[in-house]
Amino acid sequence: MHRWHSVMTAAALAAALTTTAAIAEDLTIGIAAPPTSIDPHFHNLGPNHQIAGHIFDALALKDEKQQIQPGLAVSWEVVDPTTWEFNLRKGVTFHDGSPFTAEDVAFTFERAPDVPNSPNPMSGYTKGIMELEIVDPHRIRIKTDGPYPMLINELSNVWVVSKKHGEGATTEDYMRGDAVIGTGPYKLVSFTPGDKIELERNDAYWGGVEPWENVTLRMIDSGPARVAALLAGDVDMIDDVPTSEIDRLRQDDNLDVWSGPSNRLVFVALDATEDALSTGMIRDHEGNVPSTNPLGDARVREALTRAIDKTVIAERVNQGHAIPINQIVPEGFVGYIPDYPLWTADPDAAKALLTEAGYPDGFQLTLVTSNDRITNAVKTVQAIAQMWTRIGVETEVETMPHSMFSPRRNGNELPVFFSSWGNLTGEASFFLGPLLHTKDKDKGLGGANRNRYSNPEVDSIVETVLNTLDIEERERLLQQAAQIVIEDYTLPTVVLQTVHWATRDGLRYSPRVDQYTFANHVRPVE
Amino acid sequence: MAGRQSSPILEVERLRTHFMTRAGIVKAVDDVSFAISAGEIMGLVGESGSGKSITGLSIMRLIDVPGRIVGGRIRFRGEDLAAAPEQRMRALRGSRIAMVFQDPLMTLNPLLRVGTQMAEAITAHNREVSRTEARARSRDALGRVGIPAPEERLDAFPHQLSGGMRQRVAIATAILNEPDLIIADEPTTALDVTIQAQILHEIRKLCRQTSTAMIWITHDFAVIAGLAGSISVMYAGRIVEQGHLDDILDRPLHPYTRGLIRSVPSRNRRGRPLHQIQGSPPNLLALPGGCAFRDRCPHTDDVCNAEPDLELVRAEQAARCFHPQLEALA
Amino acid sequence: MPKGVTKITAFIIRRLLQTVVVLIVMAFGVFVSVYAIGDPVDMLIDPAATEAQRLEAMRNLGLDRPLWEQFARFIAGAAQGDLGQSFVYKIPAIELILLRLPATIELTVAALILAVGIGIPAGILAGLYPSAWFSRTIMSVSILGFSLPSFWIALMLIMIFAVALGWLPSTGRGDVVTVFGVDWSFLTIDGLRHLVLPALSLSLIPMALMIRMARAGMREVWLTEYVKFARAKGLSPIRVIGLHAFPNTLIPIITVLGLELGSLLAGSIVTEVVFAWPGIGRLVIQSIGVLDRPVIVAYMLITVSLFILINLVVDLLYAVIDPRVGYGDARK
Repeated sequence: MHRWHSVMTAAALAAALTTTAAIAEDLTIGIAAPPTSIDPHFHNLGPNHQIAGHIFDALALKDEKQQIQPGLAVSWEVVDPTTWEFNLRKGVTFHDGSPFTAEDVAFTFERAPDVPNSPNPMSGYTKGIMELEIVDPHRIRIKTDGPYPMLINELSNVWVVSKKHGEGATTEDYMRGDAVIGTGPYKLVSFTPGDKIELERNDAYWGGVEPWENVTLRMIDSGPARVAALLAGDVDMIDDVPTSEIDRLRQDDNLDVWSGPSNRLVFVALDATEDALSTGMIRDHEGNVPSTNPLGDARVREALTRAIDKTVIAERVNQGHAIPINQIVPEGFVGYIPDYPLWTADPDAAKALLTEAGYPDGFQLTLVTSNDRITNAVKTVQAIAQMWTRIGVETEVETMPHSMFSPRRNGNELPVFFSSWGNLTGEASFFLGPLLHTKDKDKGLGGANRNRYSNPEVDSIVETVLNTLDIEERERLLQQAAQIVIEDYTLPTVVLQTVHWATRDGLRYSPRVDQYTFANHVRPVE
Repeated sequence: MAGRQSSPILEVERLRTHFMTRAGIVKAVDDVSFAISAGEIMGLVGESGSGKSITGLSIMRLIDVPGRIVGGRIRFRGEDLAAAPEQRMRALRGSRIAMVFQDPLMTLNPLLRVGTQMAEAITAHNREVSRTEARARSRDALGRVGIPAPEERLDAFPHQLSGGMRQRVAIATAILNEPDLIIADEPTTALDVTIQAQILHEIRKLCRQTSTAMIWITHDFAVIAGLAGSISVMYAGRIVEQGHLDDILDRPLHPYTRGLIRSVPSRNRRGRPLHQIQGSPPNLLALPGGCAFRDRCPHTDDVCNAEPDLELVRAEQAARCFHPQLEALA
Repeated sequence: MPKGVTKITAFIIRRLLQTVVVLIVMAFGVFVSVYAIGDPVDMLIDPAATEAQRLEAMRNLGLDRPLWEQFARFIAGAAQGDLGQSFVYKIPAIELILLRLPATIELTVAALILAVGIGIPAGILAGLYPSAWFSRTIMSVSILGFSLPSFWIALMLIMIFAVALGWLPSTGRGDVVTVFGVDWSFLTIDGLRHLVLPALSLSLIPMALMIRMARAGMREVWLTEYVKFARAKGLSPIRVIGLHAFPNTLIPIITVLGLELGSLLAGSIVTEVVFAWPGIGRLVIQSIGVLDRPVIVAYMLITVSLFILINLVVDLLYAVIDPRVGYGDARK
């Protein structure tokens, strides 16, 4: 928070000092992913959060490294293991001038999880709240069911709406714009679904006045069209720059490219169970169903992992726009193991491992991925397949649209697949819990565990971390679990995607790990 | 071959119309000459491919690419049509010279009413004529060609009329502006015999009444037997015989003409096989040198390897032949 | 009632009945296809969602029922005008489509006007003077229209006119004016500027088609007897071409135009995606990607209905233009 605050102050100061300033300047951004709704609680979807972040605030806000900073709550403390107390910011007003108080927070947390017909509700973020008590207009207390260390993290995804306007308002009212009243840096002017969103500056914003008087977010899904719009000057900035265009744009003197690591990494999943053999996608070197699953042997999995040349995949397949990674979270996230070696590819060692495990002639695999979700997915799996084939594991590749890939993967029909995972909380628990904990409906863990990995040691650490409030203890435990899963080689991570924005000359954007594009983080260059 | 009156209304002199096709030059009309006076009806007779239709179209200057008039003169009332500018031709077409085509179904535009198609022939040449007057004149013309209830016919579409009716409409359209010359290209070929006779009758009456000259193009001698005053017989793009109707019918000179006349069924005695000219019309792309009829003529000899000229054999009858047949036809 | 009116009414009623059958069969086809491809729920929920949340989502979307029941409910709703709610946007599918439809209609009509307004005169010219240099140029350009992929043409137009020359905007729809509750952008200058490139891009293929058809039709008609007869009457060339020749070329052209309009409506997808034009083509692509079934079905129903309506109008037009056609027959 502090850094952001100082940036805001500096900007406000600069704006005050320079008489002309950018007071009357407008900003147009071409964005790739269209939001589905302007109701901030309707659909838990990235693009929807991106829009909401312009108009609303949450109790806490995330900085570029996805770390929690104060937002509408200036401070909070854990009074006792099951009680959190939040001090709310004073002097904040909604866009209509009405004051922000604890009533609005209470209303928000009541409404958010229960929006009717939501395809993906916010209830996941409010499930920690057992009871909410309004102590005074600027102080609330929340009781949790047992220690709940992720509370502030989860609540940072729930945008605070005005009780006065939100009471009784349906999603339709939000879509029409009537109920879209927030405390954020911009006010909504119009929302044309699938086309554009127009915003105007909130001159009374608590975080300082923005340099942009009017902001237009144009939805341009085609990559080349976005680039063309920037080149033509129809937009000042674009996100999700196609990797093939980046070098060219960098060379253009009129444009700047801003790049940074994202929170999304890609990985290969290996199903080590015997049930995987029934899929027919694992075969012996003669093409028949083997008597036992070769992936069940840790040495085989290690061999496959060591065969992957992550540098090649980062440099060549992704044209330099990816970072090789071993770990399950990027650097700076909680659970990242400092000084853990990044292995280089070692096909000879891999072959030796295979022989040692009893597969001197190798075997056959089918590697599957979806072709319309992940950048360069098809090229990446083709490269991996070649690398595996070179060590004796003949691999063929199958790709399909996500709508077909997803049900097959979820039905455990794909024992070897390639996918990606974006870490939304900044913590390794977000990777371990859904992907690596044993699938457990009642505990709500392992919901995305598609390779049937089940390790009781990992399970117990994950469950302990759920209730550990001490941040240092969490870190230690998460690092421990991370090391176990990395060296179990069932979900080898490959590269971390980098994310790029391009602006016209004269603008600056600090790359965000969560890949959000916020107009209120675009700054003019002096 | 002058007509009965001394000053001809149309004089065609050595007309040549060639088609530059990709396969070669087709000399559709190659050295055709004749003259017609006011009120005279000339029959232009020949098989298909003889060049008779092209002759008519050449006079109207309606020859399209790849065809072109390459030589000769077409003097209409002293003016050379072959050299006239297109705008002048447009002024003449439909007003001084009119044309009637063979297939009446395709001659009339199926999408427009009869009245519209007739009135436009009037207004194209005289802007001041009012709609009512044009309609009235059209109605009169329809009456003169023998169409009953002409008022209703004006509002009809072509497909609502019979073949004979349609052809009468075409003729009525041709006479609307009282032209000096009508070129009729096989106008009754597509009609049945009784209608044919009626129309022939109407035409003859009209021409006599208005002194309109006419070129009647046909392949059938029987049709013009009772109609024309003079005849020109065409073969392979050239006129091979020319003269008065009676002379040609009784004492045709050219073997081709004799064959044509003998082929007319009514001339045949009952029970005998129909006469045919042996062989088939020549390929205009590969005309053999010399007399074009050589291969089909029963009287050929070596002389015929040279090209004969159209020469007077009798006082007012010419033939393009080295062996004109002088006896009367049996 | 006059005989003509009853004939027309019977014709139209017959057509409408056929339409309903077609629509039902087609809706069923879409249901089955979406079902066969995958699970819409997977596309919508958080990958980290629990099993309970997943089941809840399925219940919300009505996907926990057997397929035939889902279809029966859909038909029942459709009869009352309710085509279900978009799984993703949560507003009625019809409303979503109707929201985006005007943009597509604008684009399609503009493209058609360009295709007809430029294509037919160019084709007629090429047909009347086939060996002239401009005719050859026109024909060569028309071949390009057929052979170049529309995606490429669209991007090229953007690169030339928006990026290099800067004359026109590269993306999006312009300012709109609301008329009777519907937003139209062609009524503003800014809107027209945004409309030019996408409409041009979309019009090139039908334009090429119009050029070739008009040229072929013209050449054919020019050789007919009635055109010769019209010339023989001494009519001015304009009248001969305009009143006699051209109307007779129209019949095949109208047939093709009817089909083209339908496929333009449905196929403006590529153009809409490249130009970020907020129409139904772009919407349906996104919906297919996430298996938003109600939107896909609603889109198909509306598009097919429009198609059928257009063809009905074309058939009625024949009767107006060609007096030989009655109402019992289809095209002659």
